[in-house]
Amino acid sequence: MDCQTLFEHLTDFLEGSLTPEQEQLALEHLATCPRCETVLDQTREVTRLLAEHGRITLEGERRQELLHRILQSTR
Amino acid sequence: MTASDVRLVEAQRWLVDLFERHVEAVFHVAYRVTWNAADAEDVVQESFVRAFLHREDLRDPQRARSWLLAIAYRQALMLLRARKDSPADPASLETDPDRGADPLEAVLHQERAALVRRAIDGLTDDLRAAVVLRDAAGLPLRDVEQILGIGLSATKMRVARAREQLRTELEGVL
Repeated sequence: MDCQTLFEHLTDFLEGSLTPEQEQLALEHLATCPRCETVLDQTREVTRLLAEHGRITLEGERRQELLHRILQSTR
Repeated sequence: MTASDVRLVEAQRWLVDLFERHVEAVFHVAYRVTWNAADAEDVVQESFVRAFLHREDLRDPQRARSWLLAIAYRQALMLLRARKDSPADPASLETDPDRGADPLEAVLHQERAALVRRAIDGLTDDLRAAVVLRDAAGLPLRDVEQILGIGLSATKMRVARAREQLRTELEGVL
């Protein structure tokens, strides 16, 4: 597998949805290509940052108030 | 109680059940598109009201979640477009409340959050939607595909292009 092919398969690689053969070829390429390894690590970090900076919960009180407002609107 | 009253009560029971099962997911999608808790709550309210009004459109109850999330996603985008002229102040970005203990860490967290948000704002609507739903909201690609209605390979392509653009934009903090 070359750099371009790995790049095209990066999403499937991160999803774990490559075939075992494709995954093996990707791992072999990554073991010998520091640039692709960096791209992979940085892409993983992007996904982590996106998950981290969107974290928020809906508190129980707000949740009940929202349900009340929604039900009021449907009467 | 008239037949019409009975139908309304049954429909409202259905709505409460829908709300209890999916409100967190709807809120996540709304928040991660609008990046603002008050806006996200407005989107949640509007989404459930619309779901109630258009409940006959849901033919397969198994698809309630993705049907509802698609409504929420469209509502969130409409709200964002309506507010394009008055973008939110980055300082108003919601933060994880657990980060408040260490002031330095809180400042660094805020700065990273602002950088991430600016990078996300720089994406086109199509790319932003795909990556926000997949990576920020953490939805499986199959759900993202159903919400966007564009097919799995197009969804993967958008996610990949968005991640690559973000990786380039955020290289300094990675």
